[in-house]
Amino acid sequence: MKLSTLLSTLLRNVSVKQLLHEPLRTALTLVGIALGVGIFTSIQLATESAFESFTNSTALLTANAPLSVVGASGSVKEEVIAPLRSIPGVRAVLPQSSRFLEVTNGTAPLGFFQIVGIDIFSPALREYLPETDALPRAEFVKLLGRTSAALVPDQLKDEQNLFIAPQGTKEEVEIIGTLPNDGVSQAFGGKILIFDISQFQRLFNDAGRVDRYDLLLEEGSSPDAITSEILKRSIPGITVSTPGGERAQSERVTAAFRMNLRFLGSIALFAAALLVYNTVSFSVLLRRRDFGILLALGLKQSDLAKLILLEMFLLGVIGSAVGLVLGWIFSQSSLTLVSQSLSTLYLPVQVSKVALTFEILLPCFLLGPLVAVSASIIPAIETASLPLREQLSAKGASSPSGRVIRSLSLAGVALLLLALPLSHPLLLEQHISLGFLSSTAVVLGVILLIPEALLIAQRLLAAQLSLSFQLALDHIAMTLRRNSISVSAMAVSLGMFLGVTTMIASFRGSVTGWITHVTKADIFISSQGVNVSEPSATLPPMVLSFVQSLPGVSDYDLLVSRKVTIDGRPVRVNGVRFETIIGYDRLPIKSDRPLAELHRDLQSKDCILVSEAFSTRSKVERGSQVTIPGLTGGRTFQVCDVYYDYASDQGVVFIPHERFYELFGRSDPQGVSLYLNDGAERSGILELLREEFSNTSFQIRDNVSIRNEVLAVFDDTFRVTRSLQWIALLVSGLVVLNTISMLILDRTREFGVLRAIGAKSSQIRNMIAAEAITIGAVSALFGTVLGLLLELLLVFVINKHFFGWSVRMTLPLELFVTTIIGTVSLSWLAGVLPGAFFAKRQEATVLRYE
Amino acid sequence: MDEYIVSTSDLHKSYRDGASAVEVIRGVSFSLPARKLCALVGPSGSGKSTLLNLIAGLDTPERGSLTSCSRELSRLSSDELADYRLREIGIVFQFFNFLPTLSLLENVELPAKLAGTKQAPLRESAMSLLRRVGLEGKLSRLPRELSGGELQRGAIARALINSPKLLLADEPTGNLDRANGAQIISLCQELVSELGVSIFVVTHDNEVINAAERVLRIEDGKLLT
Repeated sequence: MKLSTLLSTLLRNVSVKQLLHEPLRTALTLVGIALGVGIFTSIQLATESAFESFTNSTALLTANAPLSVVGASGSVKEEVIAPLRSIPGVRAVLPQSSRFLEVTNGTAPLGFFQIVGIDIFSPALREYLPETDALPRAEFVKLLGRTSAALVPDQLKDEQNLFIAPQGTKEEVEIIGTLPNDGVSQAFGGKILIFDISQFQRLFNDAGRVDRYDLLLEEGSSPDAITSEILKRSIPGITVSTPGGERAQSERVTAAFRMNLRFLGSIALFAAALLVYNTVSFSVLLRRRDFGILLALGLKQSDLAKLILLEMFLLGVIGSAVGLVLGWIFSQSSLTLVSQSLSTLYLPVQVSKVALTFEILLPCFLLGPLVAVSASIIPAIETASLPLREQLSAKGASSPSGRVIRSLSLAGVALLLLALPLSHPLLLEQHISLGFLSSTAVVLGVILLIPEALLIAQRLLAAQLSLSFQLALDHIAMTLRRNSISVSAMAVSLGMFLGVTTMIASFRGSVTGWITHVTKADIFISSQGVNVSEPSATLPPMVLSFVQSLPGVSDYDLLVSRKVTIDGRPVRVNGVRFETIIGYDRLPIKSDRPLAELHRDLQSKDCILVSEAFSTRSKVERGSQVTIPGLTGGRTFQVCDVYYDYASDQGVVFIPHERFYELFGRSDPQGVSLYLNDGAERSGILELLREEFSNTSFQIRDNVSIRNEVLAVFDDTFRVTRSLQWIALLVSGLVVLNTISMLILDRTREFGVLRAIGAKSSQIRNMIAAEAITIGAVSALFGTVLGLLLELLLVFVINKHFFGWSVRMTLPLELFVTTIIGTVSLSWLAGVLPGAFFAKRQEATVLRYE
Repeated sequence: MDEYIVSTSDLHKSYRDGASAVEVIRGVSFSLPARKLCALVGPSGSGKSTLLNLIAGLDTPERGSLTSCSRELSRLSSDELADYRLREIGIVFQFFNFLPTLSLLENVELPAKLAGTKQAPLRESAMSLLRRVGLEGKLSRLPRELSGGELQRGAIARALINSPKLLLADEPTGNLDRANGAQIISLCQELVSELGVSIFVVTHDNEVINAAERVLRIEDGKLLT
């Protein structure tokens, strides 16, 4: 008989009936798969949709130009347009600048929009806007220089008034036309305003500079040849990039973020796999006798293993299908969280809908069957290879021998030791994914120690405890195989919950300490920006003159800021006054050397301060040289020291104002920090400032508000992570319920015999409770150990190497105690309720085999 | 010359009990004539069920030879043993071993489905076997809805579905009352005389022993007769 026919016969005639006969267990398996696939899918959909939206938006805005000319200093001087146009093969040179700015309708904010400046009069306009023949260019000409005329997406066409505040003061936007519904209007989720480049430069006080020039080539021209021609001309301050190169840069910049999310998604998937493993193990153990009958009737062992795997594959397919639907539902909310985080940390992302693509959905769909089949391989092989005599006996399978248990423990210790080199910085620099491998080694290492620990617990405690506990511990030792699986599943999901929770607590603690340190100024005035550390507009000079005249202000500092590219990565260069930074001890310096000494160095040499993330990514330390690109070429500085910073994982560099202006030209500041005299009334000064600048979009905040805002951003960034914590806890709860109820089912006959020989129902209840409590306690203990180890890895390995941040580890003891008590209580409850039901059953019922 | 369905020579089997090994079958040699009802008797723990399991290919001997249905079982792989169980023999277990989720008819059909028999003839032979054992009115019942006698007769029907040469039965009347036991014995005799099936029964039941054409006695892992 053909194998496929045999398996389909058995599947139809045996498996389906058995799965339907145990609806709860089947449902639990499906829930586990669907939940894991759902969470993973939602994260993938949200991350990829947000990232794709950004790259597609960029492609739309560059008219799919094969080459672009950008400045490493963040902008390119307009003078370069003439030499670029003169290169043979270049058909058009399209300037473009953009900023991320809030748009309001006068009464309510409409959100952050990409404000884009392009050459609206370029003959190549159709490359951007394919249906622009009907556009009223004459209207543009009329409005040019008079007002801020913009093309807006369809969704804004009915707005009576639109305002932006590029330099703090509100500017009304004149709607000159509506963008066609495809093409550019699809960029950034439709949150885009298009200005002529000259108006853009006026709005942002950026005369003579653009962010980039996109080059359209004549047919047959080779981008490579044109690139070498541009480089041959040695135009200062520019680099040539391709769409592929830019996408690769965006991917590199967001790699850590995306990998971290994928890691967290994998945690959910792993927890789900454990639930499936636990359920499948129990399922095949409880069905062992049925499988034994099939073998006795002539089914081959290998075919039985295939049958079990096929069953699980089909459950995996069903679970995956449900998981994809769940993933799509979850992704609606995670999309907002992920795009917020991406915008805050890296790129301006505006995305309103989830992109359901085959490339994302197929791997997610395959995960379900993969998880289900992998989780059932060991139980399937074990079941199929068990001696028939044991399969058919009413007793449980024999426990692994002492030698096997010892070997498992040794393998566990070896894996734990292996985690050490795997998490070594030198190896991680080569392969960042080794960080995950080390966490996997830790998880597996701890799991392999569980059988030995259960045996030790039995040996040490059995003689000391009541009869119920003695019998419970004996039974645990006797059925070590299945109990080890249950305890492992519970311990791992608890460990993941504790590890992630404590990592967030440690991280938050470090950020709280840091933000208190860096916000020593009393009041901050900043231009509008997507977050505290990323201003995208400037403050006009009147702000400074008003601040200087304010009573009670003892000192102030200006922040001028610009994003540049160093070693292919975006880095923020902040121009500051070192006197105030050091004088007020505003930066947590890594080296702990006296501030006076640092101050001397900063004054005497051409020195800069760099953030820890920059130091890690660019491999620079105190004394290293760093070249910062400027508008007309780079300048090399010496790193005077490294400071702790959690504002950006891409890196920040502090340079003195005068050097900043030399590199990038004079510009208005993006922020002002005020230091008040002792005894000055902060609330009064805040009120004065808010009154004076009531018609502007300036952010005027005291240091307490800034701290709260930073922590709110932190909490938002970790909201996705937090949701995963709860999934791990939910899985843990499901494993507890599954384990304890299966344990009772498994011991039905044994309890029946005990009742038949005179055991009281209360004794049976106590035995079940004792076993449940023991399993819960051992799981909680191992979960705690695993949680601590995972926290160590997340804090000192994953965070440090993914984001370049040092995090001070904290141990929230109350969390550990609550989790242990909670787990033991839940286990007890899971045992008490079915135990009470069981104790009432008639012995004759439970003693029957069929 | 007699034709034998099973022949053993110096058969040994032991099980590990912690650090020590307990020898359950100790050098057993015998032959069972074909198309006869034979019985194996002996006290509890004497090795009866182990010997039956060895003949059924559910367990493997450590030493000695065991030929059943012209196959030397000690040389068969696990897959070949499965094929032997499927096509050459039928087993009636002491505790029936029905799949609880399948109906009586489905349980009886199962070995034939494993052997790849087509649905139409399969259904017909399953019904005819169940009619023969007097269970034609209980086809769709689940095992838990049948009495001990009915389950035992159902187990015999299942064992016969692939037309085996040898039927092995472990205490087939052990869980039955006198009337049901007598019914099973006469069914076995009919199977031998009408279908030419060889039957080997492990039993304590004197009625079965009296009906058997050959009786083997085992004690402490050794054959006495």
